[in-house]
Amino acid sequence: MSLAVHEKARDYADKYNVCVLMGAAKAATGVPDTMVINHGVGGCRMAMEHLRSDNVPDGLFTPIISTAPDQASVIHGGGKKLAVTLEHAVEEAKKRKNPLKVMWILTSCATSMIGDDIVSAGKNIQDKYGIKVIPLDTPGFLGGEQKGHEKVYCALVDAFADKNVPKKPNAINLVGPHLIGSKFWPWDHQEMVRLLAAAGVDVNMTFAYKSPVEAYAKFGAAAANYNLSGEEFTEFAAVSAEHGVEMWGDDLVYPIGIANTEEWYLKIAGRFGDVEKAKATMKADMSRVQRRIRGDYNASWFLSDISGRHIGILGEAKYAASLARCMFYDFNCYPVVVGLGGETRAAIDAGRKILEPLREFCDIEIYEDPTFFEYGNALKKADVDFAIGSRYDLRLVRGLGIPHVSFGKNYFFNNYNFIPWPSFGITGMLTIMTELGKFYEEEIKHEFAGYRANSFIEPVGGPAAPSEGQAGKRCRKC
Amino acid sequence: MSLEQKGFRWVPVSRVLEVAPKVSSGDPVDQFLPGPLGAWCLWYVVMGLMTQKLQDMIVVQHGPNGCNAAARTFFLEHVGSSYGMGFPHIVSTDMAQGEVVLGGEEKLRTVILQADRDYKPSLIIVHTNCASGLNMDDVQGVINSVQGEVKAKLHFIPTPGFCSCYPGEQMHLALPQFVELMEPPKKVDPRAVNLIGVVKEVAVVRGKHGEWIPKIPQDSNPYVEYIRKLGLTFHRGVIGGTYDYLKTAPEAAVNVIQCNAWGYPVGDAMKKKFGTPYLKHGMCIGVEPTVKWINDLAQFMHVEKEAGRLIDEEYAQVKDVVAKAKEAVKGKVALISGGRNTFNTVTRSLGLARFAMELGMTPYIVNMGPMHTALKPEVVRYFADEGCDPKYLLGPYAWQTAIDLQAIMDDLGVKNGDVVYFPGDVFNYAKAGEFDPGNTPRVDSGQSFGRVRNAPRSAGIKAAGALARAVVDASRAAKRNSHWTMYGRMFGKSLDFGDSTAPKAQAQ
Repeated sequence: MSLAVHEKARDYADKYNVCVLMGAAKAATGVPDTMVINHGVGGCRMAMEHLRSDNVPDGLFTPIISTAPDQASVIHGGGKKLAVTLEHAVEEAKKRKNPLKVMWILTSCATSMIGDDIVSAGKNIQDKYGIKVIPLDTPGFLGGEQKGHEKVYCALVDAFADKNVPKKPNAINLVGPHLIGSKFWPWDHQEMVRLLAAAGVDVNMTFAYKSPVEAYAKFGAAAANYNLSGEEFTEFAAVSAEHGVEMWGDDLVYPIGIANTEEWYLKIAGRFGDVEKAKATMKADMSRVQRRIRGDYNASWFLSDISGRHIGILGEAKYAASLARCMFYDFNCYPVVVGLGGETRAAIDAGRKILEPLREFCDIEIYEDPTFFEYGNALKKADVDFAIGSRYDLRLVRGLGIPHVSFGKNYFFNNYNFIPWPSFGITGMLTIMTELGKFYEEEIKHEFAGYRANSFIEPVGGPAAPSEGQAGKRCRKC
Repeated sequence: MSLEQKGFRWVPVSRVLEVAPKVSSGDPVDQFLPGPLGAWCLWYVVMGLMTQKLQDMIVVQHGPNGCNAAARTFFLEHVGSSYGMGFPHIVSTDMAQGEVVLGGEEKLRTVILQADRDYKPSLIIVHTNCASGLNMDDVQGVINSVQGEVKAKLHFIPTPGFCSCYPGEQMHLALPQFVELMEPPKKVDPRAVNLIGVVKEVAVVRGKHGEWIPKIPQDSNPYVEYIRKLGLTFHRGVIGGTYDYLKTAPEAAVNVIQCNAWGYPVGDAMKKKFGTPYLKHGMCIGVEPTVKWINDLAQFMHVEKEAGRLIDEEYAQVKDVVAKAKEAVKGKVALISGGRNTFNTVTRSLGLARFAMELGMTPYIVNMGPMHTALKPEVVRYFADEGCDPKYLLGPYAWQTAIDLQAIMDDLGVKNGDVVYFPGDVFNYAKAGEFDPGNTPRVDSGQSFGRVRNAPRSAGIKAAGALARAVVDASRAAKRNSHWTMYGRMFGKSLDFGDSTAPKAQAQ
């Protein structure tokens, strides 16, 4: 039994990893009663608006207004467009129900490179209207989204945190829920907050999701920042240290599945809360899940059906590793290929550490920050039964003839998880079983092409050759 | 405030060509269309709608890797998934601050070599983004210097995002550069026909790994079928297929068009480079334009008899439902929306207007961006020449804000029962109790991804039948004047407890 690690051996990237601007947009739009001015081109704006959509369910809508510079602006400067847009934004803000507390100005590659003065533009508006303006230089070439989140976190602390708040040893700040890597993350975050509260852990605030601007004043009250993402936040760690807040939990497994939840909950309750309360909560949750599935024919059927399958998983390092453990421990599947995505070495290492306990029990090919090409070839070689990933590797995997189910990345883009229920925690098992159960039955077992080939009634358009909707190997003459 | 007070007025669509400023003029554009310009960017559109349709190539994207992911966030995956494209491999040079300041040519060179080594493609298309467009890296110079060291053909298509945010302009900038990949024909097949202006799909039945029949008919399918039923050879769908498939496109005798906006730039470039003629008709929504398209091709290829038979066969299948649709909507107003926030879909809007006229309706086009329209001049002129130059609500559409359809109806002096609504994109206009499929016929054909088996889209006589059926169905559904849709209830009255007496709803 082994964990074989494939390290990166190339100078290029071929993976889904949005940029600093997108990270900043996700985080900034997670702060209520703020507004984002995107001083960037139309394409960046559309990506921002899509990616921030995770924040919107349950009512957190932060407008993004773009300057959308074109070639003329790149040549002559986009300052005038920015000034006009800021004035317009102030007018728009007046129409909102709640007063505007912060206006963010974010740059993209083009406007950062031409050196438009966002600081002065912001100061003019701040002086004129008394609205707090936070300008951030966020061009995509500065790196991945983690840096964008970090810039927003640091700005929030700089702007609002009070250094003289009393410490609460049982209080923690949650950091980076957008970076968890689960498509259910808003509900997963909500579930973590519920579990933490039940174990006597006080969630002081979340960077940067739904915590109001005023909450950042008491940032320093927390004993630690629980780093949900596993990415390394060097600057934010330094800023936090000035407030006596340490970074914690970088390589803590996510509470996906029962065994992982036990480990996660007891560790965090042991450090900040009450272990007995955590155990009592888990017992109650387990009882709820048992009541739902014990004696349910479909549950027994599915849990027997999926057992023993060989699978591939691709996702953010901590998420992919935690999910691999869940699939092994809870479902008796073998995660033979695991792709650990990450922007910093720390995230990859956290993922590897989480997978370490499986070393004795199964053979896993671990791919560090793989390209889509590497991952696809690894799945082919390992001959997996199915793969778990995100919408962004769906076509790759299904293109290889391998069934694929999306659990990862952001909510946006056809995930359709309208039911606000988590995948984290013991009760989250019901989400995972629902998703996997339908997928397994229909996408793995059912023979769609055969239905048509063997239909008693003549199908519309006559018999299909080759199978409709699928890549066949027959030529037209056949 | 009336629409006129807001700066809007009704003009024929073609008037936009006279009043729109030059796209590169800066301030005049900002005055003409206040607020952010357009949507998407050159990179998104070219990568999502053009390059990814090629089957055996990879992309080297010279820029930050974030642009790769941003394009995948919507365009690449949505288009590719819905239209059956293979997974696009995009190798990014992952440009960082160092390369922005000091230049990224060496990195580009290294990445091209590694991409050729690892992926072994037949073609590598090199695209650029804002950062590499601004730091003046000599991309073509790198390509020239490294071409001898790699097996793949290298081809550069610049795509910095800031270069263009209007699809019409993007098409003119990029499509001819795909024609540059084509090679002079060794011989021209006098029976072979290319379909150009293929928008989202690939129009290629045989994929790299086998034959493939779409689960849902695509817009290109009827055109391909017509070519074959006329006894001609369908040669190439452009853009699509493998590199070999694309580069031999000039072996066809003639190009015919699916979408005018996408077709003309390719047609012009192929005509100039290889002398391949093209026929002007496209976006054939309805029976009449499709008949023109078929006859035009038949006359060019001297297969008029086959055309007559084909048209008779096809029309026999739809004439009853088309007649029913005419009966249902004759004399009504067709409210055609260009798109709630993108203001795109100029060609489709005009195609729908032409169809509405065929049914005896009066089309009015709204919420279609004036700059977008102005940047598709040949499309606007084509439709005007065809007698389709409908009234269009010209105005500033400041900050890309669409005008509510109720305000437009008030301005036109029409009520719910007088109109048929043709949405142009997602985010249809609806308000339960006021404007909803429950009291206003809504014919959903604009959203290009909303593909379902029997849904009307465009292209061809059978599709005209499907669209006519949708018009009949929508007209009947709106007679209920109550029981609003979920979508409408998100924006209007959420519950009415069976009360259908809201003042505006009575207009039916």
